[in-house]
Amino acid sequence: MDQSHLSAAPDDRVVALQARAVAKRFRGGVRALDGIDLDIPVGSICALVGPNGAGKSTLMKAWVGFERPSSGSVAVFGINPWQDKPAALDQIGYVSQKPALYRGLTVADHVALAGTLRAGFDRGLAERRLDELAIPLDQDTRTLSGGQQAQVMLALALGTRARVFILDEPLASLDPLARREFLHVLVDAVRADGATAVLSSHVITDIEQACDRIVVLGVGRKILDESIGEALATHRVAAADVVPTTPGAQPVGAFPGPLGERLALWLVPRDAAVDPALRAATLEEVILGQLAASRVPRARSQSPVA
Amino acid sequence: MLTKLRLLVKTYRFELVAITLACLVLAGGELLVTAQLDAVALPKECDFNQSVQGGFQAQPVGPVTGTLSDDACQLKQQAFYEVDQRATLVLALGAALPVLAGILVGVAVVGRELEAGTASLAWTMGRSRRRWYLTRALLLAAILGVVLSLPAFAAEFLEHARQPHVDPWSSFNDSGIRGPVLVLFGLLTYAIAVVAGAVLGRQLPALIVTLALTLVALSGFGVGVMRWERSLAEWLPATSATYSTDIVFDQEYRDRASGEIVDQNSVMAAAPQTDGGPDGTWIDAHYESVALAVPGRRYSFVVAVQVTALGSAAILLVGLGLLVVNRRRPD
Repeated sequence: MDQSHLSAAPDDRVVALQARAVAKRFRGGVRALDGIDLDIPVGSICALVGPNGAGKSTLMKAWVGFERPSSGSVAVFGINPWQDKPAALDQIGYVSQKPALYRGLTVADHVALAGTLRAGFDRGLAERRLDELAIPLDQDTRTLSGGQQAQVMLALALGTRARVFILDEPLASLDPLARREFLHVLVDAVRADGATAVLSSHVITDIEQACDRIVVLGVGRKILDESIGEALATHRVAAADVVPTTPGAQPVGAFPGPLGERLALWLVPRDAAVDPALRAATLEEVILGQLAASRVPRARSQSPVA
Repeated sequence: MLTKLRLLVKTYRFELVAITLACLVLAGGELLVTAQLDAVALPKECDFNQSVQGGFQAQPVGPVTGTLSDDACQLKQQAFYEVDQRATLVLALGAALPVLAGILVGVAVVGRELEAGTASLAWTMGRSRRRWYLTRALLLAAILGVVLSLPAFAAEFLEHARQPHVDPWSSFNDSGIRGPVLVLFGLLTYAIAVVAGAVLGRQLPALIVTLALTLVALSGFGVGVMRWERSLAEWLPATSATYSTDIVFDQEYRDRASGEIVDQNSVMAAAPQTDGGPDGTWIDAHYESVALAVPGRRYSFVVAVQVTALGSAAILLVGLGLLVVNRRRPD
């Protein structure tokens, strides 16, 4: 396939989804996005996380062509969805935040409907995935559980055989088992086809297992954008009053621990000898520390609590 | 295409079943009353038709064919007009049905998709919102048009039964509540509802707004049609046939010598006075009673123009809906 039109990420990987200085202001002056620059490389499964109102859905909707950026631009495999929406949509499989299924139609009807809407829709693939999950094709979608409805939405998206899947908080209403099943299906499908996926979620433990990249947004700004492995390797946690002796350690932010204690996130050089007072950070702690740092002016002293 | 049609009908089955049942019941009612009127078999010599169109409410002038003193005729007339009252009720229901059906189906076309969130599935699954919108809007319009045709054309049979000695297509009696204009009222309402649903994205507000806009649109249409029809009117000899088939706007006298139209007060003032008032014999000798009317033979032309105007407005509105759908967020 000719990929000459595709842009490249700074590390020379081909970019599936791109945002350049994207800002979005809604009526009333609310800023949902504020100068976002982002490259999602082909083949990655990227988690988009951040608090409510951080701009995750807005950014995803900009890629799908539902929201027009106030300034800056977005692209899907180099195609601006506002200049060539059909071509951009051809690349995308989308799963919305709430299951958007038709009342009174069966699962099979939805598969047939997708076939009438999308040229090249792979009905066999969609039906196989649903069959594997024991979701009856002749069942009215109103009678499906929330997890099954989400799986139907995912099967429809996967049936498009799109090159990039955009999933807007698809796990929000699912129980732990349904979340696990959903992510399992997603990861298998994306890996098998060499596709790309971006999903937003608040459930960090699930993301950690399914995704290889994380982008943290806070109040419309990008706070962190790196591989999950890199994020875990370069962040450490200590009690907030500890000043580590690790050379090159930089304070990131302080946040409350699960028992109310104050913890501090530290950024440490990848190969540095780490102070025993610092322990490995979980992905959730990386995100909490980064979000905390984005909310207050970063202190340049050696104590993140300062 | 068959799959699309099947899924569309299944998606909108509540609305489609509801309006189909309503139309079948109404058409059945119209045909039943038609049969009852036909069964009376009102003879032509007893047909005293007092229908008056337009704003002029004067009693018919000139000769009438009925003989009210004839007992047999009176019995026939009584039986006929008892059934005819039912016809009036059925036709009134028939006038309201297209508006209600248009609203019910129209607000669901885009409004329900936006409200239920299914628009985001359809608009990302398909590459063209235009094709999605036009397919469903036009297919549903076609179904609505066919279904509404049942009572609309049954009303034509009923009209023929109400005026058994007049061709309904050469008579303005009950115009606007029978025939193709009725179908177009439904389609115009449908188009308004489609746009309201697309703009508002919620069915209940769209339903209320559509109802208000439709009342305004149909009232405006009625006023416009009335003005246009007046421009078509000509002075015709006033007979009972004029009042039963034509649209009458005014009634005056025409000077038999000069052909000049003279208002009634002037004629009454000029006529010699007798014990019973102005001398009718003198008036008839010098003046001819005339009505400013659109003759019934122009009914087909008037209906064709109305259908064209309403159809054009409906098409424009569906086009406006396309603009809204193309630019709209799905939630």
